[in-house]
Amino acid sequence: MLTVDQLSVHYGPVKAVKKVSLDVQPGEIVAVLGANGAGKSSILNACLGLAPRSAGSITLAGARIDRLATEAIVRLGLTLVPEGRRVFSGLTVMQNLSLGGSVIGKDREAAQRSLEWILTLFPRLAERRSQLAGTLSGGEQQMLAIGRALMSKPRLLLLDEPSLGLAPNIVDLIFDLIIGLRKEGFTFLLVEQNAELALDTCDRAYLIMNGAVAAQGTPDLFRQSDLVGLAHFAASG
Amino acid sequence: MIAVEYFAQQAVNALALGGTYALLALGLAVVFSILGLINFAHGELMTITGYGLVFSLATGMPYVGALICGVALAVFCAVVMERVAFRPVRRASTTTMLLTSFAVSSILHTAFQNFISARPKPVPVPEWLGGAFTIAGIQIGAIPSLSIIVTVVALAALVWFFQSWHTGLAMRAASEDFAVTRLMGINANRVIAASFAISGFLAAVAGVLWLFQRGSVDPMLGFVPVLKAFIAAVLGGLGSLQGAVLGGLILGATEVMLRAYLPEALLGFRDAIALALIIGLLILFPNGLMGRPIQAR
Repeated sequence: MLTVDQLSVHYGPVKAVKKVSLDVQPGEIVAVLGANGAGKSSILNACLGLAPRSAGSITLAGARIDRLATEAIVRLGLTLVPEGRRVFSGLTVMQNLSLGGSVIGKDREAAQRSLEWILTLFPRLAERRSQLAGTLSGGEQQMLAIGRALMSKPRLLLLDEPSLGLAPNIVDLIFDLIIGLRKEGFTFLLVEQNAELALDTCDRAYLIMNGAVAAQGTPDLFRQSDLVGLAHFAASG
Repeated sequence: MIAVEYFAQQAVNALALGGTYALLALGLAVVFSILGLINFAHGELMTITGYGLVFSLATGMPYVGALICGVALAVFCAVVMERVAFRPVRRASTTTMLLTSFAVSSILHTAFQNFISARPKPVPVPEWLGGAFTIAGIQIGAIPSLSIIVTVVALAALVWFFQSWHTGLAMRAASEDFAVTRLMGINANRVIAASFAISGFLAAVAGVLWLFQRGSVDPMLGFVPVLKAFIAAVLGGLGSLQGAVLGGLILGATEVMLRAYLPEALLGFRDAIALALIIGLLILFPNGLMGRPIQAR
């Protein structure tokens, strides 16, 4: 579904991503693991045209998307829940969700259906619907960020550090939701620092070290060879 | 009683001038909050409204039609300005954008001088606006009253737009986080064009009110008011829309009240005193009255 081929990302002279190739098949949950600063977020951002791609190609369902504007990519069914949630804090929960549904356009019934679906997925958001997003707790903001992205019914959702800074019970809730949505046909590519959590959830994983793919395979492979420990060792050493 | 009446009249003038500054400052703030651009060509949009009005009237158009033409011309020019001048430098530094806006401003000045006239062109003002009326024994001018009403209506319309319209919400979202707004599938160009259209509209409305006071339009018409609007926007906190309105009202009220109550010997220092007061406020509120804190560098 998504194919990243030989992707490089430069920020000025700094090479953040070096010739990374990865792919995501329909219905999969794929995890990108690695230490802080390894270049994981840059890969996701480049997929949405938010990080400067210097080489390589990105293909969604057979069509090149690496020269498209961010909003055009979103309209093709690929979206990103950014690191740190980044909800619109001065807008209400409902206003955030309604902006998430911008892709639906003028079809009010479809927008209403999407909204009701999100509010049943996250009853907490329904309770807080007219509250400003900035006044929500971290967990509620993450629910809102995911709900807002789901409003457009994306085929493939990229999640950047969904567990970061959240209480364990909220993390469980969010990962249960991801597993549930996958059963409904959604596909996920997620970046996680919490490797154990990601390996419990995903079908396949990539390990990124210093901007390049260091290893890839099934969760079992990662556990057997202690590749994750290696990644953390590389980052701290 | 006379002192009370005088104060009431000055209060109306203060609201009228403050409202006009508020509309202008709001126009600057709408664009700044989204693009980080201080558009110094904003004042030229006022001038364009004036010329649009004068030339429409010259064709024999009815007054209301000419007003609509003047306003529409300013909105159109604001959108064209963004498309032609600012879009190519959108990814450049804020300094580049600022210099571009100075360039647009001086190109328009020169064009007005060379292709229209360096001299002021009289703007016919409807007769009823010259008059005054009496409320509770206090005589109040028609123009300041109209300014207040128009300001209130324009602000109310804007609040409604930003609360209830999808484009209005998208603009508020873009002012918080442009990248994430695009992640909603919202077209960046459309949001920016809308912000320029709104800022053009606000400049045009303020321009009409300014013209009614002055009675003529010349190439430099917009220079002083846009400078004042910039001060007002900084006072309110650059990028804050509520702040721009508040800053405009405070600046207008300060100017009017100083003019009304300063002893004659000090009248010449009116602007200096007004600016000193504002600097004092900015020392107390370094981010402006309603600005978001800027992180230390």
